[in-house]
Amino acid sequence: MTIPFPQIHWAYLLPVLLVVGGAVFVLMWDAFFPQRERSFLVTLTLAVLASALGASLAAQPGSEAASMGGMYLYDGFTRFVFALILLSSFFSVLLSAAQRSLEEVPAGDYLGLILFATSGMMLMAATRSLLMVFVGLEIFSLALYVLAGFLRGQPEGNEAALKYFLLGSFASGFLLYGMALIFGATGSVDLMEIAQRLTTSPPSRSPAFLLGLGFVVVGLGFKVAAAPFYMWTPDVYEGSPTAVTAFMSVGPKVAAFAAFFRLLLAVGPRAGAELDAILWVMAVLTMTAGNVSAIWQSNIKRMLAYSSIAHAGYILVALAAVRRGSDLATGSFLFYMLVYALMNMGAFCVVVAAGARGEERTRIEDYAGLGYTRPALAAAMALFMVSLAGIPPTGGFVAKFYLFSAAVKVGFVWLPVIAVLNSVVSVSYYLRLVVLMYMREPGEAPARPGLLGPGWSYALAALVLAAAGVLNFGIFPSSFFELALRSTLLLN
Amino acid sequence: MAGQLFFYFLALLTVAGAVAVVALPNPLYSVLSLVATFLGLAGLYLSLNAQFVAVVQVIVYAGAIMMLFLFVVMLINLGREERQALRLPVQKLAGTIIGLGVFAGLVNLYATTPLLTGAKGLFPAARLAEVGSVQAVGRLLVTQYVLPFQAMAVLLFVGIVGAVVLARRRAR
Amino acid sequence: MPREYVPILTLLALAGGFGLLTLAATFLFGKRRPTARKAAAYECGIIPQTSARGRFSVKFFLVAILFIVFDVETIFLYPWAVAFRDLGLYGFVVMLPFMGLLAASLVYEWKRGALEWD
Repeated sequence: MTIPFPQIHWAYLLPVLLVVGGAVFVLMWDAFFPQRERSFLVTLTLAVLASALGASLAAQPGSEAASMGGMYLYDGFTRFVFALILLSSFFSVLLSAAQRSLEEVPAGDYLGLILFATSGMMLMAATRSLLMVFVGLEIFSLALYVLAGFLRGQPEGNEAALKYFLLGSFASGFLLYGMALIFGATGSVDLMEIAQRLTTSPPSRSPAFLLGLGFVVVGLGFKVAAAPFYMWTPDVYEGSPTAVTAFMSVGPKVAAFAAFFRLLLAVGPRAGAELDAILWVMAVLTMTAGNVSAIWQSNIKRMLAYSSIAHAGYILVALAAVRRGSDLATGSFLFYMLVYALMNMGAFCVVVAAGARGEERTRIEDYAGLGYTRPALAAAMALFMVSLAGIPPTGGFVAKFYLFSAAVKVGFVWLPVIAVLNSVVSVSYYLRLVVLMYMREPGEAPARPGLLGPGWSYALAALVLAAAGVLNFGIFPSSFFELALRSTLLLN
Repeated sequence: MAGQLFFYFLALLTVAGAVAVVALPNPLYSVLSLVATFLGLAGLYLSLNAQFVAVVQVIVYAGAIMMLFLFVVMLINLGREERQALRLPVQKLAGTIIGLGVFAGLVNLYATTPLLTGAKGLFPAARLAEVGSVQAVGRLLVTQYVLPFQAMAVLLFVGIVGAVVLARRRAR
Repeated sequence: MPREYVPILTLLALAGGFGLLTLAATFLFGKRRPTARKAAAYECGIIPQTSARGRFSVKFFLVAILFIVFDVETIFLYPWAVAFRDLGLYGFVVMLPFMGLLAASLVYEWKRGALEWD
């Protein structure tokens, strides 16, 4: 008995294949020719990511979206999430090339790990199977643990890597155990089959299923840094190389939230009101803890870490709305992630560009008077801060507006109110930085010469791209929001 | 009857090994007791007709993972005084209480929830006994689960890169 | 309860029982006259240089990790090999990318010097 070759839609699989192939090539190239120019590898990695982006935009999702029994799912949602993931990887490669402390590290290993992490995120987002969610998550987590400690000479980096690894593996254990319990209760790891079993037979109320669902929420909550599983975030974000921190703050969140969305769309409507309450509490705790803690930070990477926690809280609002069956919520989630990726990457890029060889400028005090010493950089930072705070005419405002109105439409009252109040609180620490940059005299004269390394062009490209995006989505949001709305056709 | 005896023997081995892991003062003995636990588990899997899982349990867990644990213990190699300084009475008490709580919860869960008993799926027990579980796994691995299977190669590659990067010599 | 494991169990019981029996017998009937030389660690006849409780070099750890990775790989190969006759050409082709990636990883660690000892 022989097995026929399965029908595979290579056009749908191509983005992932390009990224994996690129990773292997970059690693091998550096292993064979370690002395060559690193700019070649950077350019190659950027080209791989750009072509994968092109391939995923070119592949129109059709009726044959699910292949290999739902293990790989290429629908509009996948397509948009692929674009988000590839965009964030693109930015972090630009940032890595600009960061001076990363000049000495083996470029092939570093870029290869970034590409592998990207492929893991893509696999996690493009599936209907809990099994692939786990495998994808492990691929990018493993790569990120290593990337966090990539600068081995720095004790902070080692601390970050160890903390991230230990807590991350623990969270992975929760996730896997939860999946096993869900499998035990429903007999499937396929979200579509799980949803069917839940409608036809009673296990949706069984304790094993609910416990499994709870464990999966814990595991995914850790990866998106939702309360109360966010404790690792500030330490890990502070200790990792800034370019890696930027990557961590966007890519894994997109992938984990995408998996979270698919899970909720499948089991949410049938899993009962407990899930509603859990998501509500998680969202409120996450955004409040993030915003309140961010006020007291004196290190800009820690501040941005808490800010990213707060934004995860806003996104959890969309998740709660999706549980109630809102299509608008999925669209506004995608749009929010797009804007968030740009403004967050932009802010981290300013941090990278403000640093010099050997000394990163990570204290918030370091930014005093930046408006006079480096006006263009300060202007960009001000723009990203205003956008993160959600003030018009930036993309951050529009994204929040769509997100909160989606929550209002499905009947949440207090959740959007608390979210708006949180946004008001967040203005204080975002604008504190702006005030510091423009209203204070610069401290001791920064070491001007050599501030910008040979990678300045990469930083410039990233800044221009991010700033243009943030402004564009603030002033002309409709076309992209339409696209995000149309990308919500999930196969279930 | 013999089957029951066999089960109780394996269960005793597994639980006693697990208790020894946390109770023994020397980490080396803990690691070796964990091997006993894993072998007991492998035996239990065998008695459940899950030959493949049993083989994995022996080759990967009792073999490779335990070797890694041993290496870590030897790598750190705490002296007796250092170990004594690491006694954590509060954590031990808290761990015991939480552990017992989780145990009670799980017992309750498995007592009240009708878990699937193998009737569903492509390979019910009778068919499995016919083809053998290793063969069934091999077939599923390259058909239904071909994508996770290939993704595992990527995961293993990442693991190798990570090990090489983290253990590389400082100067390059 | 599969009966075909009974011979293996018997073998295990016999082998383990013999070991235990020998130990017990020497413990019960043997005379103990320890000297410094007898109490020293037995290193296949070579006089021990230092205490065996020294720390391992981290180089061993790298070897251990690499061993685990390829050990896991064999776990995937094993069921595939058992089912190979049934799978035919498909089974052969489907293994190529998997093995290709792992072969690439082997070449990578070789070129990066992870297999060299010093």
